[in-house]
Amino acid sequence: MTSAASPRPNMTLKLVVLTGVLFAGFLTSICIGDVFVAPKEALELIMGGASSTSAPGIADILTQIRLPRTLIATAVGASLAVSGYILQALSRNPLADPYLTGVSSGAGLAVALAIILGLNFSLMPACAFVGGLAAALLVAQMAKRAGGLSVTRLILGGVAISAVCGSLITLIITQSGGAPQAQGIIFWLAGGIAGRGWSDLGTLSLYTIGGIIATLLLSKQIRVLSLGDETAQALGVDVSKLQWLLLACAVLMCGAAVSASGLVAFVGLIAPNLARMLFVRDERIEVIASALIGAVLVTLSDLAARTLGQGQELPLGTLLSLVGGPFFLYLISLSKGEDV
Amino acid sequence: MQDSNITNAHADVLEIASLSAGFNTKPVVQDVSLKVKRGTVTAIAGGNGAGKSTLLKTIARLIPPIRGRVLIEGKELSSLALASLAKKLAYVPQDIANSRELTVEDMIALGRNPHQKWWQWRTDHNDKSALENAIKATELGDLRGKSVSEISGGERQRTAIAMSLAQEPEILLLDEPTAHLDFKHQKSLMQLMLHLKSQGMTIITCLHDLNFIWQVCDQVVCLKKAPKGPSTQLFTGAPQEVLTRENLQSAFDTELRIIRDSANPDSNSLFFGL
Repeated sequence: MTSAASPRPNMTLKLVVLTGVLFAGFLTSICIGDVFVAPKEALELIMGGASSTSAPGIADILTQIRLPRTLIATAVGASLAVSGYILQALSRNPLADPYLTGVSSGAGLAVALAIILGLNFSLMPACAFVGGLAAALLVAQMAKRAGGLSVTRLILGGVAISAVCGSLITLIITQSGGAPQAQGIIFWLAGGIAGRGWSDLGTLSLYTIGGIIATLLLSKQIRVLSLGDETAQALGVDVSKLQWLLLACAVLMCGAAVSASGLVAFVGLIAPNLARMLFVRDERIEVIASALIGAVLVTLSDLAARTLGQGQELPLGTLLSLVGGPFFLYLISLSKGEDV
Repeated sequence: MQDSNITNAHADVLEIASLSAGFNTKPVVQDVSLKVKRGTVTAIAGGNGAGKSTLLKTIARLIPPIRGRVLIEGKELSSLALASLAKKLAYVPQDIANSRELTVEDMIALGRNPHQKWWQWRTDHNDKSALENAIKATELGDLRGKSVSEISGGERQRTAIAMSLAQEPEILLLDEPTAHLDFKHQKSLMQLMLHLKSQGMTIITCLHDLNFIWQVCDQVVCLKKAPKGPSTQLFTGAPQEVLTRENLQSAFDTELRIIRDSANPDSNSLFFGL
């Protein structure tokens, strides 16, 4: 009963269902908006087939606005989820998430500075990326010790960096003297994918796909690392190199996501935990499932963000936090008696 | 010169020369020298805090030596790639973390890691037979599908030993392998160690149990904690020669009795009592 072979068909079925849910969410997100497009017609338009039934304007809405936006939502969700999965594996703590490394706050600070300095809007993703990477490197430097990264120091360093960056952002907003840019900072910090197009998708998808492939390749080593640093090294693993590699994957994926969507919290926490609940003990499937669940979460949340509000978009990050916060509390209540 | 090196490599599979071991730059134990012949069992003995585990971890390359050298088949430990070292040498800690809730079988299978490509999940024929042999040798067949978090401390210890056997090493380092084992499984472990030894495996193990050392080991190295400063090597040799009352009382700073087996006066069996 407990042999490794029996849960397989079940896992495949669940993965197929998850992929189906993602596809359905994706299609719904493309069809729904100010103008409703029938799913069949939408598919024809996307596939490039000339649709005789629709006006030319609808084709533009679909291919230039809704399709790239939905694809970005998918990529943001998958990146944040896999990034969270890696950080949880690294810290051996299911409550870790990309925000604990300080990446998001570092990115937030960089973007706040860029906005207040009046830099061109197209430079924002680059700024977010550099800021996120700088924060992560600083935290990693603090967590460095002989033979690898100290997980406690990684988390404490991340919290400290987040606090400092958060305060600096608040300072920038309050000291701006009511400049219109301050409004922009607040909006970006709330998180959202409005106004993103094909040009933003290129870099993001590169990091998303590359990151997922790298994580899948490292999944066996992730399992070995779960036995503890010493045992992993005794099994021939260069622990410190592996930890740096995993951290780099996590930061790059998270940084790319943050630069495209602002601060979208809790996806990196919820998706890997749901994946572990649904799929037992197979790191490869957990990585794929995390990516799928993350993609579903952000796609549906983005759909909700742009359709539920009366005439005005709701902030995506705020919407996800409303779901994520209670889920976080639920996880803490589950893990009583363990070291959290 | 070259020839003598090769002969030495065959006789002494492991050599420790004036080794100081500890964390960062602070030695816990200093100036240990030891030669270990292939196919023998060596015990590291000594009181609590004497640095037995620290010495064992240094031999396993988990902590770098502060001074001195560790040579495996004549080669400096640090000159070997981690993966090739892991094919030669396996280390079993007192307890293994299990944050993933792996099954007993999954955990033992990870012992094959140094023999596989880093990204490889697929197991080949050698992996499967090594896994089955390890499960058989440690009598874990009934538990293979159980989660490691559901089994007892002794069963977890046997799982850790099985994982190291799946590594198919030439040298096996065991840190207190009898600590969580009941009497039956201590005896199985004793028989397993003797069996592995007969197959040419070299075993180095930290042990408290003098009776176990007496019956299984070919060599004992005893460490003693100094009142100030790091521990030193108190005595080294075959158990029959060095496990005398005087030596042991000095090692553990306490009275001790040595009882000869009266039913078998010629058997050379002893019992160390308190």
